[in-house]
Amino acid sequence: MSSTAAKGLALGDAAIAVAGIGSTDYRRDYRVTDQRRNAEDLATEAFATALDDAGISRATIDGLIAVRVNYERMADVLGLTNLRTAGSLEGSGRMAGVAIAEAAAVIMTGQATTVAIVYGNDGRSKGERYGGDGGPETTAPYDAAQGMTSPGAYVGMMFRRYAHEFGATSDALGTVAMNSRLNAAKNPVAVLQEPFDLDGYRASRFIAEPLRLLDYCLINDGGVALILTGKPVAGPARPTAYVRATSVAIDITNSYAKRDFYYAATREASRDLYAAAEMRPDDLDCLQLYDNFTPTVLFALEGFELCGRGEASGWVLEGNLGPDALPANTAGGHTSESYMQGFGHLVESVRQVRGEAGARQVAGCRTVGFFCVSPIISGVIFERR
Amino acid sequence: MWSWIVMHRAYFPDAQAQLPYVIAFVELAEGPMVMARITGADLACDAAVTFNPEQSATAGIAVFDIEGGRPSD
Repeated sequence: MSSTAAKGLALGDAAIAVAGIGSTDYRRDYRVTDQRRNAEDLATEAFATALDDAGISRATIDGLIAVRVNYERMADVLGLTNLRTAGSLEGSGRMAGVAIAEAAAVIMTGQATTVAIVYGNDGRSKGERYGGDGGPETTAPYDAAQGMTSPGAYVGMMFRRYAHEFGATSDALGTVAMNSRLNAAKNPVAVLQEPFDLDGYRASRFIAEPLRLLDYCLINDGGVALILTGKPVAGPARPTAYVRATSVAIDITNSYAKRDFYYAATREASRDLYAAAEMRPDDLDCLQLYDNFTPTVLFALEGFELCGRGEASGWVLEGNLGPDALPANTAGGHTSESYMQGFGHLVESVRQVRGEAGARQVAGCRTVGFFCVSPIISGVIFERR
Repeated sequence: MWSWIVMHRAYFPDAQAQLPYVIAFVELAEGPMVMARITGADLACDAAVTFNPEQSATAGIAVFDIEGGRPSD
């Protein structure tokens, strides 16, 4: 168990396994938009894959967390008739780590034994733009009247200030984006696979300057599913991914742009996560970093203590992130693989821990850290057993 | 001026003609942070800015001028 001071969930003894994972072919679905395609269908396809991967009957599943899709619809469509708990989480990136933490808590407290997390996103076919339509922040209507809108604009605002305070450069953002693209080239389902160099990055157009198109997540269609269980995992003789620890910290105010770039709250999440896991940042073999926009990666590297405060730009430019250093966003992340709002990062974590990541497999990967910096900050550590 | 961006994308239907435009996060002397439009060159973090009541009234939004570089109009 963790120390009493830590608020993270220490799962060492609980042995909560990721029994099954599934995701759709993002590249296939990017070729054409389809008004008839819907989020529930995509979540269903991913669930079917995850169920097959787990090798269990759907009757075993007694917990459901539906994300960006309706839990009532999903329970019906998926034929989950033995549920003892069910609900939905908002379709936003900050919920990926929360979904794992909630599934783990449900299992640890005996409310269910086996929880399906299903996620569906038809944002591209439905013309989602993530801007111009207000948003949940309390000042959003006022900001919109000034012409301020879209999460990327708030992150751009933070990056300009962060660069001013710490001397960070846009080339560091380009390096983060290039790392993801090189990884995506080894991922058959990644939407964008064409490599670019720093000149290519610098030539890409501004959206909310200082951020460029290549700093932005994709908008695409897809589904993801994970099945977590507290039961012994039988079945195929392969390594199993376990959730070793989770932590969550909150930094909710009236604006997405935080004056400390979420640093203080992220350090809280970091402290709790490593204490619960009884690990250090150095113990991680691979990182999956929530990258709605590339500056968020720098904020996560500092907050989760891979480098010191204000050092992430230089740390990245020195080549510390990548296949020959610390592998990160190995499937291509949100900027190249798919924007599944963190859920794609979770299944990639499991694939790496299992050794099933194909051409992009990190040799000897035993532990993966998923970090998300946003108003709800989360960390999850997966390990191979 | 805490920070600013230059918006290059027309998320709002009537924004196309204004592109690109500058939006800043301004820290008021009283403490609160507000989004506002900015006039003047020499954009920089921590630049001193002054509320422009005339332009704000005309535009119906908050407009601040960069101090020392206030345009005639």
